[in-house]
Amino acid sequence: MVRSPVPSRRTRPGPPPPGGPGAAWPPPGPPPLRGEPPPGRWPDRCILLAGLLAPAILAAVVLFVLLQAGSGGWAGLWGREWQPLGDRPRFGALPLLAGTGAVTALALAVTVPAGIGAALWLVALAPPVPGRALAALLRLMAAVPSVVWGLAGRGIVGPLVQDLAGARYPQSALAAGLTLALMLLPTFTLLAADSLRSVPSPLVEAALALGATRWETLTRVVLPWAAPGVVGAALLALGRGMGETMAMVMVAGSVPSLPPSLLEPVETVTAAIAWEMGEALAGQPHYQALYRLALGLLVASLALSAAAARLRRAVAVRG
Amino acid sequence: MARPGKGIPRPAAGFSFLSAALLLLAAWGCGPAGGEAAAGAPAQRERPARLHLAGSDTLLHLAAVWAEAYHATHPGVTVTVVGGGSGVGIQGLLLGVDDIALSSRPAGAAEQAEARRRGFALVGTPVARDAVVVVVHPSNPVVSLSRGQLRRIFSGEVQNWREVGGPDLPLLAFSRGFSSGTGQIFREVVFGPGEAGGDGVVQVPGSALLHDEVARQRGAVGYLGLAYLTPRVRPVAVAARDGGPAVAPTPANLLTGRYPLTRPLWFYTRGEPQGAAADFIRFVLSPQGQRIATEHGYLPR
Repeated sequence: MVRSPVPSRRTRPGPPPPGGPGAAWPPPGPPPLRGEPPPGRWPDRCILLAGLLAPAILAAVVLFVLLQAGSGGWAGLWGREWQPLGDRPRFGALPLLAGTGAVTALALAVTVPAGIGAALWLVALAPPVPGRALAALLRLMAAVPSVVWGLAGRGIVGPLVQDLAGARYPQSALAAGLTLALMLLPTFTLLAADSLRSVPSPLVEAALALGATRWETLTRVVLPWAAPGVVGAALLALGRGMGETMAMVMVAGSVPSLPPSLLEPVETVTAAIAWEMGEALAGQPHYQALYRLALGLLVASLALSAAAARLRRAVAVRG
Repeated sequence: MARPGKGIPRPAAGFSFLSAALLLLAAWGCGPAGGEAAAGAPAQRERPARLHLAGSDTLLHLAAVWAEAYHATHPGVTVTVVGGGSGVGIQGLLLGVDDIALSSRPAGAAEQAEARRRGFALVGTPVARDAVVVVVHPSNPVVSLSRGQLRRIFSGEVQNWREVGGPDLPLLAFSRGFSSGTGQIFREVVFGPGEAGGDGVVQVPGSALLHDEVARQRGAVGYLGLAYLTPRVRPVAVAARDGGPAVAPTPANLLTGRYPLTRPLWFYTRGEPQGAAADFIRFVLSPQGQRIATEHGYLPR
């Protein structure tokens, strides 16, 4: 996943040599991945076109959201009241930003320590069979659709938080944060384990040979070496958490006010967009406010993705 | 998502389907189809009439049933119905895309002004009524709530049933989401038209989910459309003003209009309804049309 696929392709038994029995296969050196495709080769052109499609779509999405967000009056977005109904609507987004912030921070506070622990166990401590079982389980969990997590949050996590933590409603920031943590944990753990695995074994062997205990090796050699990759995985989890919508609609409670405590219901930015976009007429202040929030989410998740990719690539290259 | 043009069906596709259906009808048996069309509207034989309805999701289901029943007796007229919300429907009417806008609220002043600017008036015809029932957990001893109490409960002020004459029990209020027609009636009747409010409590995405929250928790209160009532929740009587008589949502009270949480549902047209639209509205208001409304959980107008 983090390594370039090129070396492994060269070691695999390839197709029969294209240039007759005398031609060298595999060709010397990595095949050219960059640069102009030779003219007249349709498969290459198609691949180039497909490659250009993704940035083109991304640019179109950003442009569309920018246009819908309208111009002027951005200051109102920093108000403390989100009240889209009635004759005097107010579109202060602070309650929604606070909701997203509280839920995502809670989720990361659970996911990151638990995920690092699970990843260390997977990579360094687990016996082969339970380790493979956990990895398989995590991959399964990562494939569960978010609406199913929402149902689980609504049916199990919410009532548990209500009974154990004494929240008034089954819907609360805490319930939403814990549900989100369950959703982020599998992917974060697998990515973190990936980074830990890329630590070169000579480093580990050297540490052990110098008399370091297993614990010292893990905490002083393996973790620091893999830290950029783990931080990258956490940033990816953060972006994914900010963008989660369905589970937030079902578990957070959607009360757009600054929450006095984490046990109170909150509304996230994504939930507000999902709830309200259907009733906001194009070009109206409400519509523009929702698109401005969407733009903020888009920019934030693009930045997080880019930062995460950079950090994780750094680890992969060093490995 | 909310762009007014979204719900417009492609005319070409609709037309070709329609002509195919008509061709089929003609090939099968000209006799009965021709006779009926001649009796109903002779001018529509050469060019089939087409009515496009759009708007309120609350009215969507009923309008679709009406359209089907009408098409059964008037095969020359095809009625298409799409949802999207009352505002979307009226916007489409202003732009000339819809023939009839479905609305769960009267047209606003801005919408009327825009219509005048375009040289016509928005004319609304009430076609049915809809009711919202306030429900509590069956074990809750509270039998009635006033409009003022509902207002305080659903703005999030009330924390305990003691504050509204009930037992010492934490109060949990659940409301329907922003785009819900049920939520709109409730907000309009309880908080007044144009007033903000009703978002100080937990929003639940769907009437069935709200029903489950109320059925599961002793201190819960919420509101539902008539069709969602079950023995697992108990409706409470509602007093239009504090100290006034509380009216329970019994069939008799609903039909006579004494129950306060009801509202008319409207068909809006550009000017007085004419041609096929007028004929369709006549059908909707006929005893058969109104019977269809009651059979599908709405109240007659």
